[in-house]
Amino acid sequence: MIFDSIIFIFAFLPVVLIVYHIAPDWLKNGVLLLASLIFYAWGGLIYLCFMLVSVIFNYVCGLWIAGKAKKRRDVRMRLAVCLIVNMVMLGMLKYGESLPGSLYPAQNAGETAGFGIEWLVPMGITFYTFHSLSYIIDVYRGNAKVQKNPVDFALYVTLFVKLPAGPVVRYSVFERQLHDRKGSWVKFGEGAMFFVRGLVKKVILADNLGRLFEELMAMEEGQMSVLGAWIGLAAFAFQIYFAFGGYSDMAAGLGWMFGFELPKNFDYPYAGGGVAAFWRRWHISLGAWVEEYVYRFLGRGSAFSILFIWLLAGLWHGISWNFVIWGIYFGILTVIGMSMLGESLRRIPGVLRHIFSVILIFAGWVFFLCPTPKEALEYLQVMLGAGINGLSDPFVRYILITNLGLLIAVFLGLTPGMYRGFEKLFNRGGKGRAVVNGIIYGVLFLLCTAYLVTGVHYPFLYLRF
Amino acid sequence: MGRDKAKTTRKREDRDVVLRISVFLMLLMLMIGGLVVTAGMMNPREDPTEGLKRLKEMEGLDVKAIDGQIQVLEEEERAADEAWANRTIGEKFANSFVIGDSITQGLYEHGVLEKARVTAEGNSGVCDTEETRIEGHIEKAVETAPQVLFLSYGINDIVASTGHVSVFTDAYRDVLDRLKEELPDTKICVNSILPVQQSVIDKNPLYGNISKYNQELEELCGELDVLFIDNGSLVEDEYYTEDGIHMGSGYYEKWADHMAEEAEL
Amino acid sequence: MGNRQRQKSGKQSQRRREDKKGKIYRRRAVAAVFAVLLGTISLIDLIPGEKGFSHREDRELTVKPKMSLKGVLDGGYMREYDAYRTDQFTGRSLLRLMKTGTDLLAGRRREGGVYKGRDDYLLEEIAAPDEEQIDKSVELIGEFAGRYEKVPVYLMLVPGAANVLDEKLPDSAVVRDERQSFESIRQTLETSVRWVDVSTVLEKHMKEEIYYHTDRHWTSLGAYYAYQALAEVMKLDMEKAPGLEPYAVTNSFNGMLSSASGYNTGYAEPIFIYTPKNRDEEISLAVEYVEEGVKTATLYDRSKLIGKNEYEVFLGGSHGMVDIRTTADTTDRLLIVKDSYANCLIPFLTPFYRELIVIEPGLYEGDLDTIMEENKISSVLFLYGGNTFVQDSGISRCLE
Repeated sequence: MIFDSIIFIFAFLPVVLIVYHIAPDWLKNGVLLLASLIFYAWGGLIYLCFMLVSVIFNYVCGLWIAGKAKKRRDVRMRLAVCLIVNMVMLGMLKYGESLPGSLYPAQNAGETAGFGIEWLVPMGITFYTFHSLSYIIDVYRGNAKVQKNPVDFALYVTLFVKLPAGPVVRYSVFERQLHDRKGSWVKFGEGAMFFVRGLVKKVILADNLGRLFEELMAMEEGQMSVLGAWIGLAAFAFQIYFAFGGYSDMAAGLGWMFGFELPKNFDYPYAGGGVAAFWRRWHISLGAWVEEYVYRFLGRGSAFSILFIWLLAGLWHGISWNFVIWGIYFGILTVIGMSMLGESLRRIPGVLRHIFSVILIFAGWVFFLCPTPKEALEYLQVMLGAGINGLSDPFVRYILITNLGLLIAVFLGLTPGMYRGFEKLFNRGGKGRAVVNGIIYGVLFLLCTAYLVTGVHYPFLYLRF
Repeated sequence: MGRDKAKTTRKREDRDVVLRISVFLMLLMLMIGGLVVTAGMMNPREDPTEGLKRLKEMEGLDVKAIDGQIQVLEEEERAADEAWANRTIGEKFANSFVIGDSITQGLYEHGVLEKARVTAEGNSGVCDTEETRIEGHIEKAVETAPQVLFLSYGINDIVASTGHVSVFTDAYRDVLDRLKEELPDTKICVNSILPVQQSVIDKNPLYGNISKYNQELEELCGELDVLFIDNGSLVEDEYYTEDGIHMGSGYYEKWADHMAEEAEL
Repeated sequence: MGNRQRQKSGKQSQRRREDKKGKIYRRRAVAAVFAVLLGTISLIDLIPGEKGFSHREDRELTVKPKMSLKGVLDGGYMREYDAYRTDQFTGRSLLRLMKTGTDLLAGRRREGGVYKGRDDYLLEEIAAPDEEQIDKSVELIGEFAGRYEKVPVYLMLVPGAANVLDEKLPDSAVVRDERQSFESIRQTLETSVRWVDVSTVLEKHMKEEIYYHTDRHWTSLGAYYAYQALAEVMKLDMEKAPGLEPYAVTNSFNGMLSSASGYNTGYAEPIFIYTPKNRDEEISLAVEYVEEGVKTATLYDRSKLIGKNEYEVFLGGSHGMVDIRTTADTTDRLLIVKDSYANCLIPFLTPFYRELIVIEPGLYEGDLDTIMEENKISSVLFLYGGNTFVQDSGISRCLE
């Protein structure tokens, strides 16, 4: 199931909310677990089976690692085994179909894996695997007690709120909330606001940016101008941001509704700072996870480990030269940022530095947009004015004029300024303003519903990661 | 302290008022906007009662009766078509004229066409020099001003042009140009030279050029956009008279039919 | 701390307290609103009632899917179920209105291939020409005309509203100009087919109501002007034509462009028929819908005025072959190969022909040569809307 669907919002969510709140405290986690399993099974029973295998395996791993051992070395070996098995499972399910001679016939060929089943990469497989790895490593390090209650453990891994797109919550942080959380109307309201904001970001901003992008590409076929290339790239980049950010907001919102306090995942990455700052603010929890469990392991501060991690990040998106280039590109930029050159670059005044870093980041997204490095380079050429079609063309102007409202909303949403002003205005004052605030959110929610029911739906890119 | 509190309270109240007014104005504008939009959609409507009445009347018409009427008309048309198809030769040639040589005379001699429709004399051809009989034919044709004019010359020209085909075609060209000029609205058709029997060729080898002359004549007609009628296939051995050149009665009906068909009379 | 500082910190803490209270109120309010909305909409959506075909949107709506083991295993059934619930969502039309309204406010002027233009005009996008298909159709038409040298063949392609009424397009809209393809088609067929130019005459009258606001077709008035141009080219004997008057047969027509885009769904426009004021001057007709075996005395189908697509009042919509016989004083027969554009122009041609055989190649199973041989056809007219012609494959099928 996905958050931005009618089934989730108007069938699944109300039922789960009601059942959850009627249930006695000791049953609440069970309710959530059952709901999460149904949520995941909605994508296909076969994927649920794989996830359950992973959950059961890691539960046993936890017990095994925490269990009695003669030597420290044995425990380390047990850890290694668990880690390797997890990575192999992740690798097979994620990449199985694109490797040569794989078990799974290619999805593109329209073939099916036995029984005539259509095969897709299981939703959120990276996220739940990372959660499990976080648990195992935390138990190994002694940062967390082993979780003997299978329900609680399963809930940690599969909680539907954070499964599709994060945030990735470390087990040591989440442990307390498994038992020690309270719900309240205030929290529910907070959750509702987050959820609606996330919905707006995904359904109204991201999906319409997707539509803009498609229309622009269709109109410009073969005759893209400089402006067209830039606008197209911007639409593409912002679509990813608002979709990802929207999903994170929705996840946070849903969490609040059930009493969980999930960490903030996106902090206005496009609002300022350099390239490094951008990635620090982008999917904060994933970055933190990588830093905690991979970076530390490889050795902090070395250029090699940074490049290696970035390369992995690229490959995580897919086995293709484009992603490799993307990864190495940002790896190099990060290393530069940490060096003397970076120090001097940081002295450039704020606005210029901001524009410069956005351009660098956009350049990276070109490798996402185009499927092959050759096309990506061609695209970059057009962006720099080396194309043959001039500065701008009537199609781009048309797209800009007819999407003016959307673009204004997008730019307002990129910086924290507008939202903070809104918060300030509405936090003061009494019940009157609160009601207005409520009405505004209500109208936004209805609007999102309208777009969900009748608009074009763009499946979230990162769902199948 | 109290005064400050009063000031902040007043400031808050001011801001509250501002907020309330702006919200109220926004809602008012939305409502007005909505009204304007819906009002705009209410364009003046046409009155369809008369039109619907007409449609109903049209529906009420008896299609069988009309079908009957039409069938009567179609019958008439079919009858007229048949009559048209079964016209006699004479009727078909009612607006046509034929000029030619002695062979052509057979058209009225054998009663296929009326004499009034034909002007033909023996020994005439396009290469007339001393006896310009064709001149008389041309004048007669211009005088008659028919819709369709048929020419049938050549058998005498075979000898008169002494085997030089260009003499023949140049002379024919002159004749045709003149006729086209004087009778611009007339359709002009040229008949081929009829083949002769072998005995004739043996006696006078010039007659062996007939097919060559016909070829050149056909090209000339193509050039001048004139219809060329090739009658060679109509000739049967039994039609020949004793001289091996002229035709007997059996030929003429077929020839007239052929001319009518080719010229779409 | 001095007095001032105490005051300041006092104010600050007071503000913080107010903020905290404000925050609480806000969240409680949103919680209430959200809970209420979520609850009511979910309950309303439970109301049973499935719609198969949406007139408003002119498409089939997804119905409840069948469960299958495979579908449950790979999620296919669930995906269809999602689509089903989305399509059958209660209040869908209202929500669609909300979305279209918001889009319009944001500046969007195109939806579903339809531009929202000035003066409440909806203008259909000009289709990209399928060059291969056009070449094929044009070649076949040329050959067809060559086969029947004695019969004059006419070709009329009608430009779309987006080209003729281009001043009604929204600002900066970029639309293909199909007049270039028309010109090249005309030149290719110059020797064998007679081209009827209606673009000029339509442009001359562009300030009048010659296209429907919410439908892709021309109005009867537009067809009337085109008929005049056609009569000139075909050299019709205008003595035979009775004086015509327009009569509205409906004033609540809302066409297909409205359904496709969601714009102007409340707009109502009239449809006119042209018929002699004096009923005695009407030509009597025997109309046969050959494939359905239905005979009637009128070209108009009143029953279609109740449905959604009222334009089908002309000739009852699309049929493979319609045989119209008249009591006109002539033995000329016309073969019309057409799409729906011709439907409202055919009534103007009835006084000039004893019989009109109307073929819509998309639906007609036979071929045109048989018709030419079996009937005394004296003229042939190909009448198409530009958009259909550049993508139509029916002509090729009929002529091969």
